[in-house]
Amino acid sequence: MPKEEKKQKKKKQELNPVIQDFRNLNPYKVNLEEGDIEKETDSSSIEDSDTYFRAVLGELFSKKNISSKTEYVNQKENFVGSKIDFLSDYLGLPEYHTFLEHWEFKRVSLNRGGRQEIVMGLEKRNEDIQTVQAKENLKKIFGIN
Amino acid sequence: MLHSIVGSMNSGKTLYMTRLLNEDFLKGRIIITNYFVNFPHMKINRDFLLKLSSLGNDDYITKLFENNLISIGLDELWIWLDSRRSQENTIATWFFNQTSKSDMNIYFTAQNNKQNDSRLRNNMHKLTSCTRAVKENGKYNEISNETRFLNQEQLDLLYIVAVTYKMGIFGLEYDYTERVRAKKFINLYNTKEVIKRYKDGTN
Repeated sequence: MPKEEKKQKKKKQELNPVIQDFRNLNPYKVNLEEGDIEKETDSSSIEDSDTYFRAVLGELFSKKNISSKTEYVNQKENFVGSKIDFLSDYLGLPEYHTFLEHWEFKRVSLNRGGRQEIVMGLEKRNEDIQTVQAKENLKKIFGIN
Repeated sequence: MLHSIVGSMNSGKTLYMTRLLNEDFLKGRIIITNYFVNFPHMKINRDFLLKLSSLGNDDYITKLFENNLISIGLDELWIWLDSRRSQENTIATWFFNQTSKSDMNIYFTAQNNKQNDSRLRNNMHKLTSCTRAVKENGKYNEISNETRFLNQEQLDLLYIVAVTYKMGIFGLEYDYTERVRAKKFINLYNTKEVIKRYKDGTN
C-alpha cells in the first residue's frame, strides 16, 4: 500500500466517529467531572520553581546550550567552578535540596538578540533582591550577554 | 512523539502516563506497556522490546506497527536500558526512528531525565515534570512525596501537577500545565507494581 494511502488510513482510524462513539461508551472511559483536569498555558502560573528548575536547567545542561567556561557563584557567597560542575552538583537530589535552602529560582525575561525569552534566574532566599539581580546571576552562570 | 515524564518518587509520574495512555486508547490507539493498566493493552518485557527493535522492515510485526496507531508506555525505562550495552542502543535508535517516521507515541518515566539514555534525552519532543499537590481554598499547595500510599481522605484531595515543555528551536520551551485529580485515574493501574531489572530474568 502506498505510503500516502497508509497515512490516510491511519487518519481515518483516529477520526472515525463510529470508533469514537464506541470508545466513549466503553467502561474504560474515565468519568470526568468539572475540575478533575485543569489545563493552562500561561507560564506565569507555574508555582513550583523546583519543578521548573529540574526540567529546564537539566535540559539546558543536557543539550549543552551552555558555555563551559563561565564561572558560577556558590550557594553561600560566590559560585566558584565550571558551570557544568555546578549543574552536576545541583541536579543530584541531596545537593539540590541544600542548594534550595539558600537560593530560589525566579522566572526572568531576557533579551537575546532581540528575542524575549523567559528563563530561570537565581535569587538568594530571604533577601530583598530585585529581579535585576536575578538576571545578573543568570548572566554570570550561563554566559549570557 | 517521544515524551519523557520525570519527577521524584511518588510524584505521580506513572499515574500521569497512564492517563495519557488511556486517552490514546480512547482515540483508537493500540496500547503497549511494561506495566499493568486497567484497559486493553499488551504488556511486554525487555526481551520483546529488544526483538522488536531488531526486526526487519518485512517482518509482520513491523507491518503491524506501520498499519496501526500505537502508543507505548514504559515505566522506569532506564531500568531496562543501559547505554553501555550495545543491545540497548538498538532500542533507543528504534524509538527515535518509530516516532519520527510513524505516528507512534512513546512515553517513558524516570525520577530524573539524566537517568534516561542520552539519545532519548536529546531527541525527545516533550518533557513533563510531575509533583503532588492538594487543593485548598482554590490554591494548589505542593505536598511531600514521602508517603506513597495515601488514605482515602488524602486521596480525595490529591492532584498531580504536571508541567510540560516542548522542544523548540532554542531548546526547552514551556508548553502547558495540567492539574489532574489523582483519584480519577488511580484505579487504571497497580500502584504497587515494581518494574524489575532484566537481570532478574522475569522482565
